Amino acid sequence: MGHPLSDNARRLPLLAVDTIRGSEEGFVGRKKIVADDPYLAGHFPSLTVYPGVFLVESLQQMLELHIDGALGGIDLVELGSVRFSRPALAGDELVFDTAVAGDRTHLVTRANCTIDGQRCARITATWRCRT
Amino acid sequence: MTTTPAAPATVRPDPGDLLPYGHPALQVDRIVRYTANTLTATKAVTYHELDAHTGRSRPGEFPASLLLESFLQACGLLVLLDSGDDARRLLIFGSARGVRVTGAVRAGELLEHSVELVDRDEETATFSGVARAGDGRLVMEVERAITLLRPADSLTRTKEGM
Repeated sequence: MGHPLSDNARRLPLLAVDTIRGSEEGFVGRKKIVADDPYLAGHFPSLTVYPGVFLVESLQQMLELHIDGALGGIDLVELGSVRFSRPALAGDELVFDTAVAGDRTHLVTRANCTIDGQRCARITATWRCRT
Repeated sequence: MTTTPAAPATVRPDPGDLLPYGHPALQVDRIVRYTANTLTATKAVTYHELDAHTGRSRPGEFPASLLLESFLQACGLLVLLDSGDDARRLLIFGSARGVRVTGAVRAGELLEHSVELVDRDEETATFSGVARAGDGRLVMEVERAITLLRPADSLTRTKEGM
């Protein structure tokens, strides 16, 4: 695992982010879907599909790295809206172009998720830092 | 509101026989109550699975993402039971709004979902509901969640079409 954990973290088999880099409004995060990731086993027979809720997990982990530089310090408060346009399959790379606003007690993200430039999902969410 | 008494586990179908998921993706353990348009289902949260498969970085807490996945699987069970559909159509998470996470479910607790089918047509099903921890604490409210109903081979065709 290539990312540090926050002090109150324990372990993280469910790794849902590869890289992030800062952007003018927030960050751009990337996650490649790998067929043999153990937590993807059994989701659909004979085909690796990245579950829609895992996009939310990816967004959370990307936000944690963006805010704290470590995983495990932020809680989801509300998914204001989430809409999926196409499935993310093995071999796809998800790109999260994300705007971030607010402070540690009330962070709002607006993420536009794409695969090869095509929209995959839009997620608007509210988060809270644990400390 | 009149509720149906909890039924023995043997009376209700096994979630694993209805949903096209296997270990470790299946996030519902038991259907507790079912009436037309409503369903209550439970999932036991354990350290074993948190450590082995779905561990989040929180000490012993079920991830919010999987909390929602578990809720959506309960929705899937409801629509399958309501339709009597045994063709194993795929249920795909399409959209949601107003999903509020109000608490955490910890290892050792029994998560209980109460879901209601609000609307249904040939291709979509709309749900609302809540999730509670074993002590009755509200841990999640879902204002609206919409699942898409697709033929079993639709994802395979999507992949081949790329």
